Amino acid sequence: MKANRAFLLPVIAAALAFLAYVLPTPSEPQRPPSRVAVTQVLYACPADKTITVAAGQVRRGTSSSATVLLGNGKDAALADASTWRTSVVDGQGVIVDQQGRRSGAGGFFAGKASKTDGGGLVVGSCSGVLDSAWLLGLGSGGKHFSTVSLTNLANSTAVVDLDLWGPDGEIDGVDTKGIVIKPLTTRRIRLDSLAAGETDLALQVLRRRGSLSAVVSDTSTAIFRGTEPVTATESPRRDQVVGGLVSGGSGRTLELLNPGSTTARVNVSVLGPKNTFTPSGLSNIKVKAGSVKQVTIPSAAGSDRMALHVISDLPVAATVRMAPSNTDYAYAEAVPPLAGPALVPVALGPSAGAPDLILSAPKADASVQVQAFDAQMRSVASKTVSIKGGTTQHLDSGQEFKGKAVAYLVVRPKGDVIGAATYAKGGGISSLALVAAPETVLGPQVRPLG
Amino acid sequence: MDETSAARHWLDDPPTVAAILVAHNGATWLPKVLTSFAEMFHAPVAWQVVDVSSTDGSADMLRASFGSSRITYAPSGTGFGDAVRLGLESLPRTDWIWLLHDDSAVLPGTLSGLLDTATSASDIAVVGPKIREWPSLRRLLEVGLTITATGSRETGLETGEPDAGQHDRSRDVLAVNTAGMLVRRDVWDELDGFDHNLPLFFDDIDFGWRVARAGYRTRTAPTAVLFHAESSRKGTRRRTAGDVPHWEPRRAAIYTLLVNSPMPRFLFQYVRLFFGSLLRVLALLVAKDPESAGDELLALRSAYIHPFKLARARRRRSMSVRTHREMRHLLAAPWLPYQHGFDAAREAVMAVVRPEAIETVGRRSTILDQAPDDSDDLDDGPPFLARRPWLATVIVLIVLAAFASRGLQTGTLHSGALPPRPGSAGDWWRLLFEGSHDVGQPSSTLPPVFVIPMAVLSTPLWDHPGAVVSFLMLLAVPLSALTAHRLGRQITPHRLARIVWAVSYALGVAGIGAISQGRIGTVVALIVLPIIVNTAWQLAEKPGRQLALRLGIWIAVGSAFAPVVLLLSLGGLLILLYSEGKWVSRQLVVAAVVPLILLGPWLWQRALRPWRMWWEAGYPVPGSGTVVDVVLGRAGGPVSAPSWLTIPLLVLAVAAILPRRTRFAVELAWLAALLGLAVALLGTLVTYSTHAGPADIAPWVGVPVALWIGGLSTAVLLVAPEVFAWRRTPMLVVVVMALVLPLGLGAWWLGRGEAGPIESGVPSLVPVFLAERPGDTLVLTGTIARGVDYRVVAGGGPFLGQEAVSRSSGQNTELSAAIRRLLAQATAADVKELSAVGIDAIYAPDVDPEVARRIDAAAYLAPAGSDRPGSRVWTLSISQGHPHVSAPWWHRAITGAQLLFWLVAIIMTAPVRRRAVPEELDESEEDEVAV
Repeated sequence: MKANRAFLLPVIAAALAFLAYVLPTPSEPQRPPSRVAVTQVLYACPADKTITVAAGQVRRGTSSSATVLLGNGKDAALADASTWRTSVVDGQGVIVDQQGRRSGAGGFFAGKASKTDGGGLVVGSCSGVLDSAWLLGLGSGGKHFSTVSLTNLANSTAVVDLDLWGPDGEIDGVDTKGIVIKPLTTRRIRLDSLAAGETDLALQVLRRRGSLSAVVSDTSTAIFRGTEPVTATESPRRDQVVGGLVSGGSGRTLELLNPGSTTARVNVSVLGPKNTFTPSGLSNIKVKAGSVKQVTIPSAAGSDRMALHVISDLPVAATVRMAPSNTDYAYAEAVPPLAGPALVPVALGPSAGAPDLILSAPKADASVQVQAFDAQMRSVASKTVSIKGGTTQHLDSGQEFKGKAVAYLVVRPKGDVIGAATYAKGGGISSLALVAAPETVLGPQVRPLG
Repeated sequence: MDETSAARHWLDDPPTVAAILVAHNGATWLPKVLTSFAEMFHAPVAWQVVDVSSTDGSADMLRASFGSSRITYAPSGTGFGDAVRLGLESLPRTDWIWLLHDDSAVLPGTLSGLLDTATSASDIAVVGPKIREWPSLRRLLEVGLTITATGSRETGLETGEPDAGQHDRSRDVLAVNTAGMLVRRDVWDELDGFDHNLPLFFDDIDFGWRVARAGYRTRTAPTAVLFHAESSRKGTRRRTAGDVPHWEPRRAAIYTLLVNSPMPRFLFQYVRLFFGSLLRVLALLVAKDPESAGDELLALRSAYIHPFKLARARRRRSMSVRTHREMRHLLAAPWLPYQHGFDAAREAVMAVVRPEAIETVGRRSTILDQAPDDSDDLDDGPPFLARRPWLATVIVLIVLAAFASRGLQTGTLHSGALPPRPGSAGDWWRLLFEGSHDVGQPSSTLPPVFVIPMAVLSTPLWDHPGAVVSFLMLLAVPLSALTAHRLGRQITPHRLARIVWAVSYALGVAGIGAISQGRIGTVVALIVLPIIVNTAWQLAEKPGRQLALRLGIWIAVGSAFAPVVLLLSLGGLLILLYSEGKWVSRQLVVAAVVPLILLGPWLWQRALRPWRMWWEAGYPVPGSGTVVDVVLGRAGGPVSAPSWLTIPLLVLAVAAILPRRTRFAVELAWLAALLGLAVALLGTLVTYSTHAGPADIAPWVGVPVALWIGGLSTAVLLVAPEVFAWRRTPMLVVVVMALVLPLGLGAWWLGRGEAGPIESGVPSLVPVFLAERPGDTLVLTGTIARGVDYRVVAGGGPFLGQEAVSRSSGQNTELSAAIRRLLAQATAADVKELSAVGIDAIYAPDVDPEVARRIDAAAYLAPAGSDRPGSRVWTLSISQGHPHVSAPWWHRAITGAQLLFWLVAIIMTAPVRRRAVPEELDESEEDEVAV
């Protein structure tokens, strides 16, 4: 018996080991990023005597200040965080600093470009601090010129790199690396000073240091005429949707950039008002490595308002230039589905009218609630738009909310929705992609180590 | 010219010498003493014996030898000096007086040798012989005497120093022993002999001091040899009523110093001796010698309670021919008292660590000394390795450890798990008693208990506390081997097997990677673990309160560094209860409760979150041990020896169960091993967090794994004697299997070395230029996608011990939120919040590009240069706040009380010393007197 008892001991050891082996061991806990409420929003708007700057928010903020660049004076008209306010700022630019938890503040600008600059309607969103921006459809020659305005939003030096691509490949521009922007200043750089003679350029703005915002102004007096502030499109990827294409069968050009080292093959399908289809001429598009390609959207795609679903075997960036008339053009950029409420300006001064919202649901059925607010942030009207999966719908806000003294709209999605607000007045056209207002931002899980 | 070889001119007109023999219960020695007197080349012209109330038959012997006319009877309590005076009354006046004791035998040439020196100069007033020990006859006792400034009788000889002629040069000394002292009669009369107030002790030194002050010389005569049993000092003489009390030697020493010290030195000595004696009382109490402490106190009282007697004695000595400066060379060196103090302190420490090495009968043994006379032993005997194999093994291990730690011996040891040492021992003491800890974010957390032994050990080295850390880490293998071998002695008498076993255990400490990973908690715990087991073993054999207390202390020491030791020890105590039964239950309760008291609130805080028992001293670096690792005796981590080395041990440990004779003991070893295995496997299934915040840290299971393997090795060791009785072939197979682990571990340890991850150099969690900034540095590690960890560092980072006093997670909530916002979307307000808590720089050693991009966008943060590629630094351009937190007053009180508990516990565990009871001399040893 005693011998048996003694031999139990190694058996117990083996049993303990087996038990520990089969029991689940704690795995390294996942600590994915999660949403953090935004408490301060900082953005820079271009300013001019002909530009109206508008500032607003989804929720009332606690305070706001607007610093005019070149002079550092304050613009009191933009300093109320509880209203929708506009101002014509006489300066090189204006930096708006708004405090408020989840206020979702945003700034916009609108104006009419002079004829020498191509004329046309200019509506754009003021840019906050960016890390990296991809901009397509630019030019540095052939009557098509782009100017990038880099604004340093803080009191420490900012440094940026600019990378350029053309139809023939990556462009080794002059002095494009380590560009320094002094604190609280704007530096304007014409692309033709970096790489002249290119009618079709793609640009990546890569922030290396500091708090930097970038706005690109694109003017053309070539085949397509007009002026447009170019907004950043999504970074190169294999699957993206370019939404907000206005109606009109001609003048639509798909700009593709392949920054990689191998030729990319791209297929484009159209999200029309009724369904998704692939017209001929938009499949198996080859984009050479490191180059930009322009693809005219064929008439087979139709002339309705639409969105383009771009799928490629390698990461590419995509933008669509829309020139429905020869007086102005606009760009539609690829954006991610709305992750939250989007702010859409309506009261933008005399240059722009109420926007036409072009909304697409790339996959499943979705809907959006469009709520109209007056300048005192009071809701004056609301409309829900249902969007069948794979289709594009639109809402003419001017018609829908006629007579309601609307200052701005808040678009709240249900499901995956990609959209844009297009503005048209007097032959001019401008497009503003819908992006979620900065209520929250993805922040890492943080823990002390002692 | 050598005086001893000079022609004896004095023989032409020999000086007259009268001898006085003082006897008191000297029957043990008198036969030999009297025989030695009969064979002198040159004898005294007159003899007088003074018998001081002998009750052992001495008087009869003396009468038989000298005749009644030459004997003077003195009453009981008559001092030596007074006895000499009595004897002189019956003697004719001679040139010299020769004083003799009843326990001192002479050689035929003793008096001749004394006269050679005495007649060599006219100012020589006192001559003393070279005194050798009785009964060994070969070892020196005295060749002249002096006194230290604290009252110690100083011979200038080493204890047990053999006589090889090294002190055969005659020289001037302060004094010579009264045994065999030759004194000029006129000088004796001039100085009125020995002081009445010094009946037995220090009368010789006092007399010599007065002789020197009177302008005369006291000289040694090494050619004159005398053998002295020192029966009064050793206490071997039979005591009777009237004998001096036990504290008389100390009183006499204080009295001698005070009456002979000149002004103004006397004033200094008066105060110094008083307080010095009180300090000695305290030290003797700490050393568990209450009787000596009592003697010291009585001696002090007796010396100081009669100031007029002192004054009179000083007045009698006021006339002086020689100044103190002229005599200073005769007194002992000023540093000698401190050397004696150090020796006493070392003995006290030995009494705690190795009590069996201390004779609990006072500092000098009354057991008659044996005479290991190496000079007569011409035979070399077996080689050192055969005579002292364990000592040779330890020496080899130390040399190998020095080789294995190549590259680590200089600089500061540090690693991911081991913070660097502080600047001085004072930093550790400050950490214990400061209310608020400035370790980045100020905190008022109670300091960890392991800082107490680190502070104590490093105090003698004050400015080099790193030596303690280096000693523990780099000599971990030999230290573990030492403690394991002591335990091995309990387990088996088979020397070779236990040496292999101890070395295996020690190499296992290196093999699990504890040293290379800088896991100081594990290293100390594994050094102490065999001591714990050893003490528990002794407790089982001989239950006693002191042993239980000692066991509790060692458990507390191990647990302070690695709290998991407490859990293992409690399990071990249960095994002990199972094996020994109820008769040790009370002692086991003591052993279990004592660590709870000694570890105090620090332990209670851990107990509230039990998984924190895995958090050892140092940073809580996760372990990565799998079940397979644990079973094969590894704890995971970046450094560990090949696992397969343990497989033969596992086989042998199972086979060790077979022999019937050792089965019960093997069972107990297996139970201990299973305890370690169970705890180690538990460690692979859980995670823990420190108080600083949730971290889900996988435990490092080094300590329980070592117990698992140690238990299995012990099972094999227990059956080793059986194996050696087998036939050759199977025995060899088993021996080879048993040697696989130690030899394999040793080769791995030496080949790989101990460096990496542990390294030696200038440690810094942050670049040096950030460490020198006035504010704190926020150190960020991790990525946006998988989470970011942060640490706020003051200066170059925390030192060992400070990592355990960081702020709790609850206090860091706001800071964590600010950092999260900074990394989500940096705003000026978030940067200002960092600045308000004292942060003035951000450092990301292996920066995630996304983290860098986000921080780059923040206002008030300027990029700065960094120390290595892949890292980034930002400095804040706004001024910092200086946050402060106050600890409750009772924190310091708790720490002070804990220190007191430790001190009291350690003192209580030391053995009590008792005054020696004189033993009767063996008659056979009396015959060893060589004439």
